Amino acid sequence: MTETVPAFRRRAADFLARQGCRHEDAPSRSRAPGDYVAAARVHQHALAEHGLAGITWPAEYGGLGLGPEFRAAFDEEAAGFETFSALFTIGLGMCGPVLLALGTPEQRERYLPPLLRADEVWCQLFSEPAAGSDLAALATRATPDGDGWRVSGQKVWTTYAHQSDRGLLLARTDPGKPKHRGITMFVLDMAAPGVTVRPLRQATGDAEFNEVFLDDVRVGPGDVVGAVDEGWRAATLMLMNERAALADSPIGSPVTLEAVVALARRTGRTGDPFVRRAVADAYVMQQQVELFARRVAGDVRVGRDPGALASIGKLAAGRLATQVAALALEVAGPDAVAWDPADPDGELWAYGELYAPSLSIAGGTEQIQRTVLGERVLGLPREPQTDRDVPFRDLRRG
Amino acid sequence: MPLYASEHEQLRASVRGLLGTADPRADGYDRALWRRLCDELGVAGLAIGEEQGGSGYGPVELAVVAEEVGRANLPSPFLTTTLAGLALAAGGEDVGPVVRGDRLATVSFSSDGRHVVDGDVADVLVLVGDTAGTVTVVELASVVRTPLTTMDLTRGQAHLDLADAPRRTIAADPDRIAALAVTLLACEQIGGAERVLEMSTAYATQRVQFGRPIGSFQAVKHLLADMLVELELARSAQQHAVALAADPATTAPELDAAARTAHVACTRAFVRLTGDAIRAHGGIGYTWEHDAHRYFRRARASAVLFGSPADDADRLAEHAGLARAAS
Ligand SMILES: Cc1cc2nc3c(=O)[nH]c(=O)nc-3n(C[C@H](O)[C@H](O)[C@H](O)COP(=O)(O)OP(=O)(O)OC[C@H]3O[C@@H](n4cnc5c(N)ncnc54)[C@H](O)[C@@H]3O)c2cc1C
Repeated sequence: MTETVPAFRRRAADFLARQGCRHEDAPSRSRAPGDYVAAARVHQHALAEHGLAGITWPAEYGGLGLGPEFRAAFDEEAAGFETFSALFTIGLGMCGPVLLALGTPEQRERYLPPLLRADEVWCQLFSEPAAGSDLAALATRATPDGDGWRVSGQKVWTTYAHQSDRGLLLARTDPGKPKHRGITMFVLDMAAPGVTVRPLRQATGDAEFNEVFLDDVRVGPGDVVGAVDEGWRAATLMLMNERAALADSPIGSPVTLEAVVALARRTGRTGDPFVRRAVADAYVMQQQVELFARRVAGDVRVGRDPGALASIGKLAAGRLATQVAALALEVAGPDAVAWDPADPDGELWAYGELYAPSLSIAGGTEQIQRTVLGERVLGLPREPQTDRDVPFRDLRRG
Repeated sequence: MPLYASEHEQLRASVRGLLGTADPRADGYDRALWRRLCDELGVAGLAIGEEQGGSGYGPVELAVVAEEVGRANLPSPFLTTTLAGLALAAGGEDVGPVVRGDRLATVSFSSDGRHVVDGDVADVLVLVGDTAGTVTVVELASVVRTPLTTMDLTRGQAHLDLADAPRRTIAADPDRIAALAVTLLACEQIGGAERVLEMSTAYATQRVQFGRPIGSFQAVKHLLADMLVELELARSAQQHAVALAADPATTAPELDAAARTAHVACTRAFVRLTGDAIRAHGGIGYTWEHDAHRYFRRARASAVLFGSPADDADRLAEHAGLARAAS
């Protein structure tokens, strides 16, 4: 029996009404991070129990096997509700799709259902101190050990590593090959001996990302995602999904245009021509970002791969968040930068302003996205690359 | 659902084929080409009902033609005569000659007769939403016109002396015409913006300095990437406005919000892309012979063609939740 979109929508609305968590009632990601993560896991688990998780994922791995129009219907119903995307985007939006595309049947069966139920949370172990934009320069080594490998090295900026059960890890399996060709993707058990996670404090004061130290950590042949030495393909696929996910929901950018409009009303500035003009500008940008995301999703539906186009959405979502955060500071005036400690919402505007720059760094910086667009969408010639064909071990790094 | 289906792409190919024969540097519109567009494709009555002599299509088909007109930077009365024709048809007027392209109609959104677009060539003028919020019609045969010198080499304007001109009121919805006007203008703007990005990309791929194509330099590449971002975001707003205009279930406030959003977004994109296109081309882009300045001129003039940016901002702030400013 196939469910219709309206029936599905009703089911979703029903669930949200009973078990959803409205934005204003959700634990603060910043002030009560432990509660936030706990609530997130409970919420996702309940979604799965009610047959509302993994909407577009194949049914054989716990998904619903439905089209993107069902996902869109759910998103519409969920407006106003906390979806805890900050915690789940990496696992559900990035690791899951990579496992679906490149994982073995055993890997999918083993990992996807618990991922959907939030029994296991996943992280992305890509960036390193000397490999950020130039991710292919990563130096974490996987040295052969019997039928598997021993991994040593350091990852950094690993979001929610301290809350994760597993992660997708990039490590170098062949330093004799040029940098893009000797990398392998592995599933890493975060509880494995030799994995040490140390939280890092961010500009906002929160500690969501981490350093991860890997000291002789054992991974087996069953942990390889895709093929040995072909991890770059898997990495690219994951990054593409990351951009699409970030374009779709600028992860929890805490200051929304609606909040700024409400602030302008509260502070009696609705008639201020400067405020009206700036709000109109932000509204136009927000409409464009939302309509672009919808248009790209529509194209996917008719069988076109948004691919590099996701970079447009990601760039635009970051710019929108920056624009709205700055507008909030202008509307709030001095209250935005100095507030009564007894006011629980006092820090919101400052927090949003401090949060915004992360959106033009995480998931590939502003500059890297533009290069992607220039080369992969417009087809402009690449810059001469001096390091492409040099064996990794002979490269200059740092 | 994508906005354009295969029949729309066929229409696009036909229009582009015909426009390919246009002389892009002609000043003023090419009457022979206008004849062919009307005779062969019926562009002047595309969205007018068949019972009134038109082709019975709608906003989506108009959007296709407007994009192509903008892309070719074509001097053409298409935009104004289409809008005025729709208003006249809605008001039950005889639009046969307008549909056939024999008579040119134009629109103006202020009643003072100043800066009337295509006012130098039009035979009849539709005044939309003047003080009483009505739509009125003025025959221009005996009206005194002062044709203006225009920054835009592709679209004429005139001041018209309407003081003693007789006007008749027709029953057409001024808000709908206004929304359609900026929506079709947005289509033209997107067509033009798309074209200058293509020109710039091609040039950056072929022009060599310092031993390599300039498009391989990051400063140039990132400039073009930002043009692409601006174009595609604006295109989303434009297509949405067209889709809502074509959907009978759309409410008046929805249409107003979507049309004004497209107006602001596409105006900004067209101005920005045409300016950047000149810069991306270097000296050659600054010559009279190059098309870049012609697109830039049209972009600047289009920005103030219909309605004012201040009015848009005020209404959009209202759509965003700020109640109308007390005046
Ligand atoms: C909040 C946050 C969360 C993150 N979460 C994760 C995570 O979960 N997992 C993970 O693996 N990583 C994560 N990252 C890391 C992120 O992907 C990197 O920070 C990012 O790719 C940039 O790398 P970098 O920090 O080394 O900066 P660099 O690469 O050193 O860049 C510094 C500056 O140089 C510019 N630059 C570098 N190369 C070029 C070039 N070729 N052309 C032009 N400009 C260039 C950059 O644009 C930037 O402005 C996160 C980052 C942040 C901020």
